[in-house]
Amino acid sequence: MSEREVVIVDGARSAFGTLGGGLRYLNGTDIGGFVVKGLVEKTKIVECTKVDSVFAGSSLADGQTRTQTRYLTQLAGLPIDVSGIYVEMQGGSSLACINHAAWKIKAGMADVVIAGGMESYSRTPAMLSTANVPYRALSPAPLKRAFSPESDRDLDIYALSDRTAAKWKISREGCDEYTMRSQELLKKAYADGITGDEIIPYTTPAGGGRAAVLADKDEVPEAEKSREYLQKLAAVHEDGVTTEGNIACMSDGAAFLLIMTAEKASELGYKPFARWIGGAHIGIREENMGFGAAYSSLKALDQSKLKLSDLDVIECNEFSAAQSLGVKREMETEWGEDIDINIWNPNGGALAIGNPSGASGARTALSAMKQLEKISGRYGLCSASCRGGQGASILIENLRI
Amino acid sequence: MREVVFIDCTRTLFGNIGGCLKDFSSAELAAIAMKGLAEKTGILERGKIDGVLYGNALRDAKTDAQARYAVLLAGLPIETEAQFIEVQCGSGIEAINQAAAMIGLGYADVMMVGGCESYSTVPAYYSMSNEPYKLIPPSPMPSLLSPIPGENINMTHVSDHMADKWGISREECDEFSCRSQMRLQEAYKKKITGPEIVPVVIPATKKKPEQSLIQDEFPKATTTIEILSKLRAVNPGGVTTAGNASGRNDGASFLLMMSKEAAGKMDYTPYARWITGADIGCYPSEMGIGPALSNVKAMKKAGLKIADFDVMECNEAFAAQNLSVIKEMEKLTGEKIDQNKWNPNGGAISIGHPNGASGGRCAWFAMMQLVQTGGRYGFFSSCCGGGQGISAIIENLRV
Repeated sequence: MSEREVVIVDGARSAFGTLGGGLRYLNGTDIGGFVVKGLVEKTKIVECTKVDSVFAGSSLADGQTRTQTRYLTQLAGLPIDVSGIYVEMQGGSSLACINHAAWKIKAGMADVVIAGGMESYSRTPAMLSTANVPYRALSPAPLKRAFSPESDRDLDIYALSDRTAAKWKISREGCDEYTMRSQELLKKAYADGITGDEIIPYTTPAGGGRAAVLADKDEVPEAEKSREYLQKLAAVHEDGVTTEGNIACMSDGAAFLLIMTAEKASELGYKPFARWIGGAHIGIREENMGFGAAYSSLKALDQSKLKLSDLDVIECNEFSAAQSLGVKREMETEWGEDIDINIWNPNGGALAIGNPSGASGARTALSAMKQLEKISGRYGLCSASCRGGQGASILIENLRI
Repeated sequence: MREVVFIDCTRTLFGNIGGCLKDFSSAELAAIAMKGLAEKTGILERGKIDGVLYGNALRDAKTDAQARYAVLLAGLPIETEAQFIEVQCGSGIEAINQAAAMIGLGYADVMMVGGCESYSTVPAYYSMSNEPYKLIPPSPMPSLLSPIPGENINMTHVSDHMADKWGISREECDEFSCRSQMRLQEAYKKKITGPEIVPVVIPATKKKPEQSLIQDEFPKATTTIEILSKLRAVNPGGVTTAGNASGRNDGASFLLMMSKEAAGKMDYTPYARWITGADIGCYPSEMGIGPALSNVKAMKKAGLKIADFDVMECNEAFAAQNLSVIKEMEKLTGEKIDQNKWNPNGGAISIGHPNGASGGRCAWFAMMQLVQTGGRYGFFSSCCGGGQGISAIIENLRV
């Protein structure tokens, strides 16, 4: 059997909402559902051929179902025989979903898959125990969420960010400047058409005494942070560089890609954006998780026999400014090659647009595809670090030449 | 595609909800099985584990990154990647199929694959988004299986609906269930299952000495059809009872998978090789029929017929569900299914059903049956809440 080629035909996302913002009445699966529905409508894929599966991930539990992806396939109105597979890898979930979809396609277990992820921080549930001892006046206590069985390695996001800064001596000023850069580049990206057009608008219907709520524009950039504002913020941890301003904020949203064999795309008359050429995941110490994206990227490059200098765009999900700058330094040092900052998140990132953790990886893939098309570049890398200590990466090759 | 083989399996005992495993979260049970598997196979001395694919249905009490958490708890090397796969009761089989793709294509050499469940510690979901100052009490959030009107029915209703649609009687359900219990008892005697169990050690307390737990809690060795026939149906007019349904159980089971070359290099003798896998959706209200569809889909891919199979594992969600699958598969293939080859060593009705762990358990039961009977092909399959079926086909290598 000759090797099957996997291509990315198109993609879509929701507007990314702030906490308690325009998507606040929707569970993660609801957001994923309308995005997949929109992607299906945009590409007319169900009219053309059979969709085999949806692969979708998220970091957190969903407010209406424990079988998130299966539920989503039904919300999206897909035929009942489309399977729904959920893959969780925290911030790497959507990249892992893209990789697993590609592997299943290459292995001949599927031809057409929709892959990506979703997150609703606004509506994710609190967890309470069902094993409370009765008749003792004991209140059900919320179950704390851990990312490591070792509490001294289970750091909060600010401490994780500060660790990456400390290793590479990244300054507070550097973090705040990088955050400004992300915001400026995102503004330019909207103007250049790199992002914006792929947003599926959604109106949460009026009901229960409240008005309808429209979500058609990313909300985090509306509260753009000025340099002065960033500089005035106190670091969350003493001696740290990470503030509430230079770390990506929790956000609600979903993003999905339509993936299929090259043969199927050609047969159906699609013009794919890119070819999936590789993907990798790797573990890293939990307290150093910020660097996860560096190591999964180096693993992916190795597997595909590519060099850093082959890349025309590198997307590294901006967990925080310190983390993003730290991963760049880590990759450069491990590989022994400098990375041109102009190819590094060239269209802004989570610092500006927000971080719906389960969806961000797929958003970076959308951004990378468009960037490669714009600059007639060849290879792109998308990566994310994952709580608990992992990294996830995908490699793509531009087909819009 | 490289050849993908199965090397070994480890599971914990399957405990009852609120039973002997009640204080372990699903990730903690998984870590016990994973650690036990690494030790039993010596894989870390001979080579490495590239990654873990870990199935679970209802999520973990302590962590949302449960696969990675279990890897850390099991003491596996830091670089071991891990993803939590959820397709309800089909999670373990989906994980196996995904691992087979990764290994077959060369993206991994060695994977530890399976799943776990803890009903005892399963978290309840409560809303954090209730508007304040409106006297709205903290409210539980639903666990829905379908947004489609009429499709979001609970599992016992699914079972009764299937019995109705496929014409399965209460007597047939009870007979099937009694048979499951008897077959499991024989399976223990034949060591189809038992040797793969790793003890769950509960440290000594002031009141109790250390306990090393190895015995499945759910089986009822003294069941008779008469006893089953006296049980009240869960729903009025239905066939489903507590005795002809799977249990809600705690447990974990993991398998070691690798490329055939890796097995050769590391001096392992594989039990079986993975041939193909399939997954498909079906109506949530009859979710139990899923494996009929995924089994037939997988068989078509492999170019195999029912008559080619020496063992057929289909996770026993309910007796009515399993019997419906048999009828549907016979209808779809035009072939008769020999029920002596269908779950020949019992199943979830007797051994219990920790959702995320059952897929791996079915896989191992299939492999052990093939070894003991010198059979050639086997399949293992499961239905999934929400309406799906997942299957995998294997070939015996211990001939």
